[in-house]
Amino acid sequence: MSFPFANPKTPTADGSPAPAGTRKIALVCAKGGLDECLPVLIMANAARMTGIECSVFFTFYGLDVITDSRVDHLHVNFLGNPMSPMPNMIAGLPGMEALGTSFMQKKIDELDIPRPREMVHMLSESGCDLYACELAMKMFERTKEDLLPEVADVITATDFFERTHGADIIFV
Amino acid sequence: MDAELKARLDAIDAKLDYIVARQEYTEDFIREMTPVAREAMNAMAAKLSTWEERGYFAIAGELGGLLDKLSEAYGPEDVHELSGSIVAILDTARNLTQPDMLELANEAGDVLHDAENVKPVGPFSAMSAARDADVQRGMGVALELLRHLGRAQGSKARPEVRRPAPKAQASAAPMSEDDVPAVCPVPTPAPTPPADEIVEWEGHRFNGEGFLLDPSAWNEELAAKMAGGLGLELTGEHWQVLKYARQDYLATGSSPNVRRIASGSGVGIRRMYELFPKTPGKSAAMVAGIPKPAGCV
Repeated sequence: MSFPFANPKTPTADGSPAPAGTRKIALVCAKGGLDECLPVLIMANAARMTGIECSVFFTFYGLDVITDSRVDHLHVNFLGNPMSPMPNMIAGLPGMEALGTSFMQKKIDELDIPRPREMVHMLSESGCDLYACELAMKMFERTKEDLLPEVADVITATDFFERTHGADIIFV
Repeated sequence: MDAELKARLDAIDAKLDYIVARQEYTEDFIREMTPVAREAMNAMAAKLSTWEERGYFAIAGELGGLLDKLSEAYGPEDVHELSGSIVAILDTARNLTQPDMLELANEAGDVLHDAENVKPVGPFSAMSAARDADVQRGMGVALELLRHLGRAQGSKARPEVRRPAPKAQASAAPMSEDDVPAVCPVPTPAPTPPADEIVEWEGHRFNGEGFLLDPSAWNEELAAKMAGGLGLELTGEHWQVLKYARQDYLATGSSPNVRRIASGSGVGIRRMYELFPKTPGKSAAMVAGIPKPAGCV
């Protein structure tokens, strides 16, 4: 009797493309805050580890997450966040954002959650397609050279929808 | 015989004397009292005419009319109901007639009387008036009053919470299609057996997801069989991954996920997805005979 847990979802040994009907998701990352992009990256990674096909579209401030010069300087915004532990009066003072960010970063490191740069690399390695938004690139005057090498392509929103045909779109 | 008769006559005589004496007293009394009584009657008449002048009789007449109206408007059933709430009515009456309440009512009356002289107040004047200690106290009282009003109203208006009667067989029997609301899409059942189910295979015990229950029972032969069941042929790289995963599990007590295995075993994440396609962390842990990895990165 063969191993009883080889269900139809189990992948084939030669790594051939997933059969039709495989789950697919497409995440849209439109914000560049540390607390706003990490969920996207973690969810994308978890999806890949669960055998779900995944692509991520970085647009507007989400571009910072895949921009080489900015990915290591993502901040947490405590202003105007009703759940932030810091009162708005204080969160608006100079330096508070950096202070809060360092606290959160410390917490994230303690939990052994990778930094955004490593997460982007992991996603790319695990076969997640990372796309930059063409329009946002023009808006922020960035070129493909400014982006991390993991980014697969710079495409328009229309392209993204075409390439992720059949996927569940999740806007974060 | 004579003696007896005489004794009787004496007795009668004595009674007659008594009666005559009483009569004289009465006549004296009447004679003396007549002027007094006349005076009293005059006083009485004067009093009554004064009452008449003051309108007491009119009030009494009106009161009689009021009673008539009351009896018209309220039937015996109403009075019966009233008797039920008589305590509350009396309490209310007592509370309302406390001296401080009366004083308050008096004050309010004074204010309303002078209301013509009060200037209209806009939002800013209201704000500055709110700094007045008396106004603040008044606002507190008003708010408390509102709270009580709202509570009384709420207890009246709040609809009764209707809970569906619990179905006796609901927990025991699987959900029938009738139980699923029409708007809710029926989820397709997961193809894998529940994780808490224990499955025996090749003399080993696995949980419902296919993870070996006792990691120490693992051996390479079993790993090869399991990998074969998953459609994998174990190569040197696979073994490298499996050995590292077991070693890490035995050292830390928790199963490593893709990232830790990839960096620890040195095969890299991309290669992990090639060696154990689709679900590298789960598949590697399964073949390595350790529990399902719990972390999400």
